[in-house]
Amino acid sequence: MDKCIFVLLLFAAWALGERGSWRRRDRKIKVWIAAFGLAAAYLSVRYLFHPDWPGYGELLKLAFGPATRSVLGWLGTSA
Amino acid sequence: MRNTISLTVNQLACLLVAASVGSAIIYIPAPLSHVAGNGSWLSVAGAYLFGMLTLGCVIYLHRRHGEAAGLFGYCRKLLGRAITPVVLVPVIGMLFFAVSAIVTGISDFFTSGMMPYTPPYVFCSVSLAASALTARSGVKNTARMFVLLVPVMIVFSLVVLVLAMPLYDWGRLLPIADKGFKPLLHGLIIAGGFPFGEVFLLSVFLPYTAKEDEKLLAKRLFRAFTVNGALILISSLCTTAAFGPAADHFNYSLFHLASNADVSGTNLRAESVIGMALILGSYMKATVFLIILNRLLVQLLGARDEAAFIYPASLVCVLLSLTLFSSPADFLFQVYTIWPSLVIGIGCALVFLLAALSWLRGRFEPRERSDGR
Repeated sequence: MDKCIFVLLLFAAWALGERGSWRRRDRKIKVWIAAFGLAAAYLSVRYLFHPDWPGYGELLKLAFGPATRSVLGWLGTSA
Repeated sequence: MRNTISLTVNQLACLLVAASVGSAIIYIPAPLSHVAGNGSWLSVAGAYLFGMLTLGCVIYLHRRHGEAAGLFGYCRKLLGRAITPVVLVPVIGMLFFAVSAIVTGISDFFTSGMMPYTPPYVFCSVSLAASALTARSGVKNTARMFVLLVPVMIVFSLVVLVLAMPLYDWGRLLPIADKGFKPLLHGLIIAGGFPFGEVFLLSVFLPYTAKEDEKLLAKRLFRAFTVNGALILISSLCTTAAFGPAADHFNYSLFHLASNADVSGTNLRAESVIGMALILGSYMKATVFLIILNRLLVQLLGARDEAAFIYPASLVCVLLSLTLFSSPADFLFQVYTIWPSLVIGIGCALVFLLAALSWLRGRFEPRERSDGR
């Protein structure tokens, strides 16, 4: 429950921070800021409900994990 | 296009120290001792030289293309409009990771020792709110404040290292390179990425240099970077001298050094001092990285408001800091294995590539012109 309240407060604080400058922004920037909001909403769901959805950490490990592991393997050390 | 905001070389040097030492002075001795043993300080020395090379390339790029708007401008000028987003999106992705990891570090520090029953989101959100508000106030105000805070962090760290003098047994530094050569190389990769390689990000700030300070720039930045190197080298040496092979068991080596420091049998309880240095360093590093992240996003997406993405990026970073790491072991793997690889493989490689392209262009351009005459 406390996590839900925290997430709501976080989004409320963000909305409050954006309120003053929102009207002055270009349409393109508004779309990008909304995209950040969507990414934050996705991460909030991951944080609150722990679904088996891919996260940024998994993406990094998938992209760079094998290469770094092979370098470490050559060095004869582990991660 | 030259920026209307201008920073003095001392302010730039403080931003450099804040961005590259930050919390690393407290975090880095333990993983280095773990992989490189007694020779961890040799890895630090090698990584410092690598960092100097990166800084040299950054300053060279600034000298050649000072009128360009930092890293974004260099990419646009040397790689072209189409390739710039391709090379900068990974750097932006790296910064999202870095800011989140720094904030998670603060949260872990509190929850693992002093306040284990407080939920991590309290520390993550409060730390990032402080960084976001500082970043929002502008690079000039941030730099002015850090001119005061960086010496505080350095003095606090040095005070603890001096107070722990009775704990040092310099014989523990021997044998040098007890684990062999390859672990030293591994240590060099870790320290080369975190924190020394991170100096490539300074290229975002260099266009802010005050015109009258341009001549002093290289000298002061190299000096500041040497202070960084010396601090991390000393903290690495002192940690090994105090704990020997056990140094790798302590996540926050200087914190443990401070908690064990005593004079005439009386424990000084100086850990709060190093705790403050750690929080201060993490806060400054997160703020500097957030400013850089916002600046790159503003330039890449063409926003008119210079602070357009500070709040949205901070919101994403708070939630990333809470979801990025599945366990403490995962944190160690991502921060000390993945992150250094990203810094060296993406950030430093990009700066080296840009410097090489710039050098080649400078070498062949006059010849082409003279051929054309």
